[in-house]
Amino acid sequence: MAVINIRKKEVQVKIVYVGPGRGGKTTNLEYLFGAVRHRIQSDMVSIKTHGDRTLFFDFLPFDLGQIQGYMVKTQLYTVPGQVKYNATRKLVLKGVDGVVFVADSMEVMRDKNIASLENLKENLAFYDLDLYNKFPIVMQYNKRDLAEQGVPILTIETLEQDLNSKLKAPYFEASALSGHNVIATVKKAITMTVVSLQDHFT
Amino acid sequence: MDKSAKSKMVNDLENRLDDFFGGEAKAPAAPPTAQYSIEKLKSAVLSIDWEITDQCLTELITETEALLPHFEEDPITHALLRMLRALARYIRKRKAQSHQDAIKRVMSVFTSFETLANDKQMDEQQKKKIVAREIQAFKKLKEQVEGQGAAAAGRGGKPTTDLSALLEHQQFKQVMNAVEERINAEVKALKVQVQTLQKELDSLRKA
Ligand SMILES: Nc1nc2c(ncn2[C@@H]2O[C@H](COP(=O)(O)OP(=O)(O)OP(=O)(O)O)[C@@H](O)[C@H]2O)c(=O)[nH]1
Ligand SMILES: [Mg+2]
Repeated sequence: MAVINIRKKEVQVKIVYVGPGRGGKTTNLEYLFGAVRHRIQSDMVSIKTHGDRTLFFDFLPFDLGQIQGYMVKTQLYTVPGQVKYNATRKLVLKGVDGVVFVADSMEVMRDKNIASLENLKENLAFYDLDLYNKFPIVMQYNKRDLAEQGVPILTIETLEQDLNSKLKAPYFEASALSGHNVIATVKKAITMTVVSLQDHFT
Repeated sequence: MDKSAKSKMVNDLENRLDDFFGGEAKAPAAPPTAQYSIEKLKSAVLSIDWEITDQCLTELITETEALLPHFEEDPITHALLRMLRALARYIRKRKAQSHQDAIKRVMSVFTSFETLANDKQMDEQQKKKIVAREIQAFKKLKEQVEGQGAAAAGRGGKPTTDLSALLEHQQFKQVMNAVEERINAEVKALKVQVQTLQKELDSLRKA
């Protein structure tokens, strides 16, 4: 749950980037950090293994300022995508308010995307959250740029069918490496999440 | 919350997000207010040359920020101010651990800024040359700082993190607590397992 402090008129929103290993979650946060670092005081924390894989999580906090009289503070996290780190994934998801699901568009990743979404559903259920019941989530179909390099990628239709036919979440085609639609994704995620918390904004 | 209040909230939020991330469709910037003075910035710079305190660094940052909007149309001078701010933030954060050249950089960047701000007639070529020199020195310092950080953090760590500041962060603390809890729980479970195994082993020996 978002930390909402009525007395201090403050809302903290926690958004977690989830998806298969090497899908581009950390790259999303790195791009965002680069885009806003000049206006935030905080740093981005990354805990990585040598191979650049996220070992624990990445963490990027920032203040959006006053909205409707409330100070809105956003915290972005990524989880490690590797299957073996599920305990950590679960932990980082504690208190989550919204999710960005970063799917890897590569054809070879098709099953991994599906398994990762299934895993998200289970982990959310652990905290009594139902992914399929109005949970704020945005889909990001990442690495679209790989098509230009001749890497076989999944079509948007296939990705939508595999991952979003039931959820019907908003989705973005993206390339986290170049930053294409990275900001659009996070904006949508923050808006959806805050709207889902709207009842607290009275 | 009723519908119109909700859509107003969403609207406010979207505008804020556009500002924060630099929106695609941005409203034209407010016209710069003509009057500004670099005297205060100058005194802040001079005071850190004298003694480096949190207070004067904060002042330096504040004064730099106050000037930034006035130079939005002039990317070269703007770049100098941003460099100045970055340096001040860095020194404020690292304190005595700051790279020894950082203060020297502040002086130099400020002097260049002052030259550019005072000489409106200077041609673009000349301006660019001055800034290019500053940028190069800034980059070099940055590389050295990052090199230092990486060496200190050793393998696996990311250099730019000020951990103590972060540990103050509430949610981060929560996560850390949860990790600790989990590790403790796992250690406990392991101890129990070891005990049971020990018992089994003992009974096997006896048999
Ligand atoms: N071509 C291309 N490569 C990308 C894109 N996004 C990320 N990558 C690359 O994919 C690799 C993995 O990216 P990460 O951001 O570390 O992936 P992750 O999801 O954080 O991975 P884990 O931490 O293991 O879960 C890196 O080499 C990135 O440079 C993209 O949009 N296009
Ligand atoms: Mg990662």
